[in-house]
Amino acid sequence: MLKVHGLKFSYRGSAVLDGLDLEVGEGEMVGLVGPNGAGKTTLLRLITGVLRPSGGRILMDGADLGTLSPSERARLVSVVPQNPELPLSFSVLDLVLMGRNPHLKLLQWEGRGDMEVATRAMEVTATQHLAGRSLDTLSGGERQRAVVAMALAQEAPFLLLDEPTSNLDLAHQTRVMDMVRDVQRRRGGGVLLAMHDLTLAAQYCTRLILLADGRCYAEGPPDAVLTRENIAGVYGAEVYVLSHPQGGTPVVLPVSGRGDGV
Amino acid sequence: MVRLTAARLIANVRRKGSPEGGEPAPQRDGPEAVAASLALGYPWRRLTIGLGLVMLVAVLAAGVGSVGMPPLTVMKILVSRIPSVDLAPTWPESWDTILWQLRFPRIALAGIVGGALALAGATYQGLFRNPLADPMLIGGASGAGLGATIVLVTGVPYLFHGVSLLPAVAFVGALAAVTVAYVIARNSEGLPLATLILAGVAITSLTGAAGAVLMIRSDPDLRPVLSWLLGGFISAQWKHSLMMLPYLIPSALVVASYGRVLNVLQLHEGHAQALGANVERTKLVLLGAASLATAAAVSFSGLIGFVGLIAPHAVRLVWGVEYRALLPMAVIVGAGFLILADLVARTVVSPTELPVGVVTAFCGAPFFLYLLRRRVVM
Repeated sequence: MLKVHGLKFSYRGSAVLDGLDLEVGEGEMVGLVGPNGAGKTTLLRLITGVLRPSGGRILMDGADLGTLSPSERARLVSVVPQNPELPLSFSVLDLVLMGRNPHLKLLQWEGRGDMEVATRAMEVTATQHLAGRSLDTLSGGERQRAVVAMALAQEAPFLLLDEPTSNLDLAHQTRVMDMVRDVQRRRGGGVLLAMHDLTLAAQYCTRLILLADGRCYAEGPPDAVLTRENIAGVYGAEVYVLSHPQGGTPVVLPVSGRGDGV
Repeated sequence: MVRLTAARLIANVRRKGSPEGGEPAPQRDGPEAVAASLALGYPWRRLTIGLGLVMLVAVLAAGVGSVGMPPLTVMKILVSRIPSVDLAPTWPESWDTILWQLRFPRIALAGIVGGALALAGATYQGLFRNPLADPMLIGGASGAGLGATIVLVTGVPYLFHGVSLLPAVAFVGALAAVTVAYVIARNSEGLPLATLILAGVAITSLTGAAGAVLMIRSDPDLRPVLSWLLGGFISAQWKHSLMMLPYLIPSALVVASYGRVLNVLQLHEGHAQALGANVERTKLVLLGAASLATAAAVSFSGLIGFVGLIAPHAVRLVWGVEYRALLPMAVIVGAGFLILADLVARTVVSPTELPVGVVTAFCGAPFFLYLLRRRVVM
């Protein structure tokens, strides 16, 4: 279970996160939504320890992440960054095996157990048939799945994904999201996704957290969070909220300008 | 068993290709579409063959010179020194002297320096995630050069309990120069190549100028310093190779133990950190180790450019980036390359010699320009 308590972070004097509280429980798939600059990526960077908070704490199963070493932390939380830079001549298998890094000592090599974990991670993400292919021969969707496989090979109970669908076309967006949901169901643990696409987030997440100005503006089931009022309040945009024909989750449609000037 | 699993996975891919029809993957046919993976086993065979080839090159190179000797005889002269081997000499005694006092020490030093520069180059490249980093290009070698010049012109005791202090001072210079280049070039996005190289150029000019001032103000007999600065192995002796080892071996051991972490570092720094790599500590340790190798090389051979660029690159182009496989192979290729370059340097304008740095520059600079043009990574 991930708990964030009064988390603060400032960049060049201005507060990016201003006392953020949130929780993601075991077995939950939670979407983190909000406009640009609301602090989504900053929160993920604080959780991975790339940035240090100026106040507040992040607890993972009761352990304060700030007191852990990078490898202890990586055994608890794995991350799929937005647009990861990949060494393109590595094979998918090499990449996935890198996920074992936090479990290995300095001179230790990947062993049989690590290979089994990697194989399972590739099975779950349907990348097994790509194992020997080098990354530069893969499509964007295949690469994204390989990076998810690497994160799964970390065997951390908690998975963070930063905009996992941002560079993908329509078909691959749903494929990656289907896969993440499938992984979550098979594996348990918690998943936190930073998402831009409100409709897609609503479709897949059990709960949404709407960030604005470094604080939690609203949270709850998607239909409670994605209301016209909340979206107008946070994004300053007028929208229609419809109901998805499949499952009834909220679908957010922007209202275009009506020619009466803005 | 592990290897079998991986081998089966990869063999399946080889046979079937991608069974998934929908993905518009840019297909490349042939073996290069399948990346080499360490999971298939450590490439001992490749390394052994490489090492054997370097030995062969060394033997051939030893036979070339003002006194030519057939390779077989060179081999016999080499083997005859093994205590239990009893070979009746069928060669002039002077050959023995030429080989054991002139050519072998020279070739050994060229090989060790080449290996050290390749190791340093490969490490800088992995560390900066920039395939164009080279000990010479980013200022490390010239920093080491300034350190060494200080020792040579000020008459600081050269030996301390039999260990040469020259590389230690050169190490401080190399570390300082690379750190300055790194700090100047680094921004929030990463480490842009252009800034890194320009910082290296500026540092090289500055340290060169400082070195010139030191030399002009010092004792009139500058010959040892000048000939050292030009770079080369003309006055190579066995003891030089031996004196390099206390610096080179620790450096190589440290870099080798960070091979897997270097792979992880090829991802973005934040991503590497999320995978549990202690990025800041790794950078410090590897920067130190690579600068130590640079300093050891520069101390005994002067400034020789481009070896650290060419050798790791050639290995990367042929066998990929897996650092645990790349590092030893780069050392082997670097050793072979510098032995060959030195052979060219001492024979092509015989009876005089070219500085070996001239030969490596003739090979390396066009290669560098080619890589720039291809924009390998910016």
